Amino acid sequence: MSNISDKFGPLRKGMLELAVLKTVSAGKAYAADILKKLEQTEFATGEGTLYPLLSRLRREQLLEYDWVESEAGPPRKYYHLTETGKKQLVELEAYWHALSETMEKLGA
Amino acid sequence: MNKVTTINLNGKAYQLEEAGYDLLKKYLEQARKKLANDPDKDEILADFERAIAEKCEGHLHARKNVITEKEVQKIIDDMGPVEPADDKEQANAEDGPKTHPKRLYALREGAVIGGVANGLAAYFNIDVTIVRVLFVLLVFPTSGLMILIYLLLMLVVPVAETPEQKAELRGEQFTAQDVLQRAKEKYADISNKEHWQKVAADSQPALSGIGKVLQKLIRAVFVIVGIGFGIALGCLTAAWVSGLWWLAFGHLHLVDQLSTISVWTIATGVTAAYFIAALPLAGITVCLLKIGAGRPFGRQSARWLAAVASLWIIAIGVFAGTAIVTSGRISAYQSTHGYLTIDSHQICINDTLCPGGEWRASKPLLLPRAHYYYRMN
Repeated sequence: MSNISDKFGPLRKGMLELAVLKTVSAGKAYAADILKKLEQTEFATGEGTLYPLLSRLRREQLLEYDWVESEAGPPRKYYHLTETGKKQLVELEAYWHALSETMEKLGA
Repeated sequence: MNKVTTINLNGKAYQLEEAGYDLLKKYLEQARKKLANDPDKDEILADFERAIAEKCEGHLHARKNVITEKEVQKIIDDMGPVEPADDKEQANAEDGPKTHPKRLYALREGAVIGGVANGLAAYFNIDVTIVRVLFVLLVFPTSGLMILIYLLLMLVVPVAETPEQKAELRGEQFTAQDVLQRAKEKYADISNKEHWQKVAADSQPALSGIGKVLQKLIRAVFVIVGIGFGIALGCLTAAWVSGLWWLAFGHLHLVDQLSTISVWTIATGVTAAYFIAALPLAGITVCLLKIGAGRPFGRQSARWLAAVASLWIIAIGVFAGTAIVTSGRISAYQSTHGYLTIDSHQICINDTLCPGGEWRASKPLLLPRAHYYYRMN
C-alpha cells in the first residue's frame, strides 16, 4: 500500500495546489484550518509545505489574506480566493476531470 | 535537570529545554537554506514562527512553562519538512525595521571594569568613550559619590549573557531566525553541534583584571556585613523566644496584680515589637547577601518588599494597640493601689501616694524625674 502511495507522491505534490485552492474556496480559512481539513485526506501536509505554497499562490494573485484578530493569541492570516484564483480553480478542476476521464477511457 | 533557553517567537518569550532549542534552531536554519531563493522567504519564516509559537502555546499551561525536547520534536514533526514552492517571480517590498523595548544590561565585551559604561553606551547608542569620560568627570563634583554609584550599578545591573539580552540592550528584535543569521555570518559550520556549543561557551568574556578583584572585594564586604546583620537578627529572635518562654513559664508576676491584662496581650505586644525590629533586619540581611552573591533584583524582590513592608506596618499597629491597653491598665492599677508589683518588689512612684509601710528610695526607673520607692514583697 505504502509503495503505491509512494508512486503517487509527485502527483499528490502537484495536486496540492488544487487541493489548497479548493479548501480555501469554501470560505475564509486560516492556515491551521486548511491543514486540519487536509489532515483527513491523502493530501495531509504540514506548515513546512503549506506556508511556502500559500505564499507563492499569493504572489500569483490567486489568494489574498486579511489579518484577523483572534481571541487567543496574535492576529492570524485568513486566506480567501481572488477573482483570478476562482478562475484558476475552475480551470484546474476542469483539467483534473479531463485527466481522470482520460484515465477511465484508457482501459476501455 | 535540563538547561532552559528562552527564545522570542512572534514577540513572546518561550522557554525551551536546550536540546529542544537546538532542534528548533536546526529546523529553522534548514528552512532558511531551503527557502533561500524564495522572494517571500522572510514572510514565510515569520509565518513558521507564528505557527511554532501557537503550537508551543498548546504545550503550556499555568503550571507548566517550559517546552520539553520531546514536545519540540513533536512540533517540528507536525510542521513537516520545508518544501519550497518553485517560483521565479520578483520579491515584494520589505517591511521597515521595528523598534522594541530596551533593557539595560552590563556588557562585558571590551569592558574596563564591570561593563556598566559599555552597557549604558549600547543602551543609549553613544560612544563608550564618552560615557567613560562622563563617569570619570562626574567623580569630582559629586565628591566621589559617582564611584559608589558605579559600584552599585555593577552589582545591580544584570550582565548580558545571551544574544537575546544583547539584542534587548540595543532594542533590537531577536528571533530564532536571527540566531541562525548571526550564526551563519560568524561560523561557517553551524551544523557541527560541538563546535557551535564550544564557540557559544567561549563567547562570554570575563571581567577585566581590576574589575574582577574589585568585584570580589565589594561582594566580600557585602557578605560580611550581611552576616553581621544576620547574627543580630538571630540574637533578636533568641531574645523574643526566651521572652515568650519567660512569660509562659517564668515566675514574673508583673501581671498577676494587674489581673485585668492577660498574658496573651503581653505576648502579642512582645511579638509585635519583635517583628518591628526583625523585619527590617531580615530585609537588610537578605539584600546584602543577595548583592554579595551577585544575584540581580527582579520583580520577585519587589513583591517581597511589598509583603514585608505591609507586615511591618501591621506589626506597628498591633504593638501600638497592646501598648495603649497595657499602659491604661497599669495606670488604672497604680491609681487604685498606689504601687506596682514587679517580681518580688513593690514599686511606688511619689511617696505621697505610697501606702503605709517602709519604702526605700530607688534609682529613677522609667520616668527620670519621678521618685521611685520600693520594698520587698
